[in-house]
Amino acid sequence: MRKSGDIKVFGRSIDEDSASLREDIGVVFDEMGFHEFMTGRDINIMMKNIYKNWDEEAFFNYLKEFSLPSKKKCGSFSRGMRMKLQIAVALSHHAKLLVMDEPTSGLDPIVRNEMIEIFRDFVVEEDHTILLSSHITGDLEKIADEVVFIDGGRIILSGNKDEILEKHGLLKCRKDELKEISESLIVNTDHGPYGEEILVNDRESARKLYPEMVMEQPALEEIMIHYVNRDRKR
Amino acid sequence: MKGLIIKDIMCLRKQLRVFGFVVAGVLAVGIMYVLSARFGNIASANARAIADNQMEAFEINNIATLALALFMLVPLASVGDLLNVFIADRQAGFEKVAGILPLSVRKRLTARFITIFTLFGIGAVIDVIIAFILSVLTDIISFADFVGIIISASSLMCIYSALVILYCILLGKGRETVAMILSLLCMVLIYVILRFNKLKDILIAIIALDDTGDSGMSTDYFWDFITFIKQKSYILLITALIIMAVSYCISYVIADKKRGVI
Repeated sequence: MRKSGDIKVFGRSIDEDSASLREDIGVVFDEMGFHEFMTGRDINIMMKNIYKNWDEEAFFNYLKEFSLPSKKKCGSFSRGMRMKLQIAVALSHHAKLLVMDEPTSGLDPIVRNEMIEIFRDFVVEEDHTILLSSHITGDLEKIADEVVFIDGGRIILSGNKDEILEKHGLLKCRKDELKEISESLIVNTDHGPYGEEILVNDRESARKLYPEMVMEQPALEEIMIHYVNRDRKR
Repeated sequence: MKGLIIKDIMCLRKQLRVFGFVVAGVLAVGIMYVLSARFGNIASANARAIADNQMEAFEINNIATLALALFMLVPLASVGDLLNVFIADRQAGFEKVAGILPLSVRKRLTARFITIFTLFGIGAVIDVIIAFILSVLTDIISFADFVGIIISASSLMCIYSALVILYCILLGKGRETVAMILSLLCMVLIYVILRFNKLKDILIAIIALDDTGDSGMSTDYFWDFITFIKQKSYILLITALIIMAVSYCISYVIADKKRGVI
């Protein structure tokens, strides 16, 4: 529920004409919201009478591409198939913005990869954007341009994904070496079984200042965990 | 908007499949009844009752009318149980999908009301066809009276559905049964308030029970009711239209405040 502020999509306030704005937005939920008795054909009949831009041909092509039977009730679909069905619907009205809530959670790695390929194909178009929430940071690493880490409703880190990955470094050292490291560089320190693991916010500076220490490239997940741990220690 | 109406009708697809059997059943039983009332056992039983002074001709006519009115109500009740749509939507989690569709709250609400009109329209048309067939076979009740009964029954069903929609939106998901009970209670309450004096007199007469009972007040009241639904169905129709309009407006305000939850 919005408490204050203004939400703009495509430069237009959502209060202006939210119904027409939604023509250009496709949403994929973590749970499919279609009735279980509905088939792909039923969904097509419903949607072509709702969306002005509904592309029937594209929808059936997506069903074919995603190996989804159009005559089978979607209640009998697996989780991956249900997600693909939602994506097919979202793409078939030529949405420019896809909003997705945990689209890859609970899927096996092969289907997850297929989904990521679909997302990649979608964002190839210049005016296409995906806004997705996910706990699977590996997926974000593969497709995201911008990331926002939220913990307990608070934004703890946001920015360009490549810059975040480029900037941060994982410094490995012994406990006695810890005191030598400038505090302004340290995001968080974790005590591991083989020594200290420090997330630094300026990898290049840290590399120059402490060339004798081991510097590793952190994954997005590691960066996120360090930031969350830092905030929880405070 | 048309898409949502189609979806609602899809939700009632199973119900509509049963509807065919209900119509065939009502037609068969109705024909059997009117033929029996004219040439068969019911006709001879009625003749005996009149000969023995147990009943008068108009009472027999009223009983027949009541039986046929109930037959007419069955197709309407079976086609227009809108609660199933609300339950199906809740079970599927469709409210999330509905929330992202490029339709305003007003359009989504209108779609639901159009669904009711469409369904009761279908039910009423089929009822009129059944009524025409039955009226050809009987002199108990005229086609015009049949139409009066159908309008009354459709109006009552529309009032009930308008209240169900209002309560479903007001109470939120998972309270469909409560909405149904409240709607029925509301209808009974409105009726009691409108006919309070008459009902009070009958009740007093029944409580004061002596050898003459309530002096036939309740029976007279009932026969008046039968005459009313046959001949003054337009009053119920106007009431239904007013209640539907009020329900639509209040439902819209509530749904809008609830950010489009229908």
